[in-house]
Amino acid sequence: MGGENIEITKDLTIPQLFYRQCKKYGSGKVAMREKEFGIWRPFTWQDYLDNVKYLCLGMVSLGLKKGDKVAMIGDNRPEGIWAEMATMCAGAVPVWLFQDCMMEEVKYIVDHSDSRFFIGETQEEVDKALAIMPECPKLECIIWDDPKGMRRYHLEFLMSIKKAQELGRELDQKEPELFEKLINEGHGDDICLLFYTSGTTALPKGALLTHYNMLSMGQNLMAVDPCYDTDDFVSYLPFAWIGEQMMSISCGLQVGYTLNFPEEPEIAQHNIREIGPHVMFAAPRLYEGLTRQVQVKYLDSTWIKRKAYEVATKIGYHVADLKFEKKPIPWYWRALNKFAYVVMQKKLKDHLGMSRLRHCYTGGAAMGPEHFRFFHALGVNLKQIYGQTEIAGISVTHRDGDIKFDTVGTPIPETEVKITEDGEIISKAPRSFKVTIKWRRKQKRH
Amino acid sequence: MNNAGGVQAGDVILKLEDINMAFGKVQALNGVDLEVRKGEIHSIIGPNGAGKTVMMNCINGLYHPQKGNIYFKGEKINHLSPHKRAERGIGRTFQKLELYGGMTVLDNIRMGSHVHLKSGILSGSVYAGKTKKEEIEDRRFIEEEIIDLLEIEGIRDQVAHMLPYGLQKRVELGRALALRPELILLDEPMAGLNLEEVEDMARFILDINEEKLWKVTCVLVEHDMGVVMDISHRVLVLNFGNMITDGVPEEVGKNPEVVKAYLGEEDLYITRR
Repeated sequence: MGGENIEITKDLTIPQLFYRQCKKYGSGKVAMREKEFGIWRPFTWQDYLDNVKYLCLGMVSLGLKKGDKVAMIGDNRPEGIWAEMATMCAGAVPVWLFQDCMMEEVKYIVDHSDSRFFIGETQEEVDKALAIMPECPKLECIIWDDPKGMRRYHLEFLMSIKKAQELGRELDQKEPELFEKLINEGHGDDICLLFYTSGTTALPKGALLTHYNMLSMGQNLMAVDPCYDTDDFVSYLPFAWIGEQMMSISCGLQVGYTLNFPEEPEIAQHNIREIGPHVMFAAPRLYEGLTRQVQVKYLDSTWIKRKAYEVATKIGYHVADLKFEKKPIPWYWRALNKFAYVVMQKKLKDHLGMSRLRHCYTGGAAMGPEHFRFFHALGVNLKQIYGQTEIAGISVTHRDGDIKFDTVGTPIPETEVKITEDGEIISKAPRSFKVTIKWRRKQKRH
Repeated sequence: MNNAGGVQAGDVILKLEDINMAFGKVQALNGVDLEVRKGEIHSIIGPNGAGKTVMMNCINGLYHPQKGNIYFKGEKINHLSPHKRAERGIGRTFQKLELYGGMTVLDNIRMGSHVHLKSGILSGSVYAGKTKKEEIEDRRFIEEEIIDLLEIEGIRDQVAHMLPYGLQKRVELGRALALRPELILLDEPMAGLNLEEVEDMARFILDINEEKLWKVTCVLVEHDMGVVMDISHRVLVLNFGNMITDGVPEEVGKNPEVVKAYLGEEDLYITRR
């Protein structure tokens, strides 16, 4: 595991770890890739550092202070991660919004979180921010990334990421030590991210997570399923979801694996195939979609292919069932499974982008056992996880070779899970969230 | 998009003089004049059968008018065939889609830039040297300027006729843009699109008209009055081959003859506004 030598203590912050990793890997290793204009463009750890540094200093020169909130909205792109990391480096707190948030939700979250800065990807997000500005008096500055359609926007408080980075460069020339100073000021118990929960019981509540919460989450997950810095991960689920933050930031930064950003959300599946990730985390809906896709294409294919598929899946299902029941697999079934692999599984896994997949997680909702069996019959190590925003990611996961698909597995290290008499599940871990923003105060008042 | 021919912004780029076009006894165009200035969006409106598409076809060279002259950048182009006019920088889209249905989106768009490729059959069969350089540059232009502009990254490898109508319209625009035109003829680009697609299309037209890289002059035939009145610099109104008026949208909208001939009821005029 790439992160073995990293000790997660309460003194370590995400920006400090980020800085350390950037210095360790420098220009020699790709930190992230983005598909743009039809080709994969790499960014090394040095590029990552430079972009974050200047954006951070740019926002500082625009008046960003420690503890300020920065609302962010946009698709998964390197610029999104840079903005998030730059905000953290300045000691401020990123607040991610879902890309499809309606105006009312954007207004509620920006206002409720007291955000002073807003970083939006395109004209669409900027328009949302401009529309809510009169009702969110604390919002001062809007930064955008994609110049398309922005030629007519000439407002003083509105600028591009590139312009902000130029300001950062100027500040860096004046105060070359400032960036490191800002990073070193942080403490592991400081707030690093503010997440708004889905709000199933009332209006969304903002959960405050610390650097220690996030980093210990990553460490505990990887104690169960180690990752390596040679791994690839495709980041395409919303940054506003804790699951994506857990994989991209908590785990990604510790291990130093490469993050890959698809060209457009609609063709993420196609891009996943091109990358062939080693680790994957998605909602059940994606896996269910893949199962359906395979079944439809099976019906459309030629006789010989259909027969090969039928024989191979029969073998696959039998072997998977033996594994589920934890029974030994006889040598002849192993041999047959090898045959199934050559005849069908290898090719199909390649089409699904799962050839190199080592750990594959599903979470966020329940998934039908049939889908589970389907993927295991293909030889894909699909595992269920269970967690929530307040615990900085997950608390429970399946272990390799111990998968019961009507359960969600066993707790990961340093986690306790209990079921109360009322049937409520309660979890305890060092990474449990610090507090809910503006919530306690209100509760006391009641 | 380039300034070859020395036409500056504001100069007349396309001029039609006394165009007469008849099909048998049907007089489709009856002495129509039109002056389109560089950098304008000049719309042509009129009821069905007014002769709008005929006029587009005359400009583009699909039809040759019996009488009248057409000048593009000061040069008389009456006698030129459509592909010669395309070479001079006149691109177009069609009311009824005219894509190569069996080809991918990318290939359709690349087809549009074909006139700019200089490699011959022999050098084209070997991907090396100048040909390679030219291909890469062409592809770069298509990817960075057209596919990105029209937001069709997700469908570049899909076969054109498998796509929904709204996307096919976008691909048509993409193919016309690959020609790198100075003047683009848009024949009902919003017809059959839903509201969101109409908004997108209007944005694309404004983008190609205003962005520094493109600065394309547009001749727009459209029935969606909201769009026409919002984005046009000038509007020409036709009725049964006769020109009713030509002026800025505010004036045209108030012209009683126009309201009577085409816009009709007040309610109709404010559709989608």
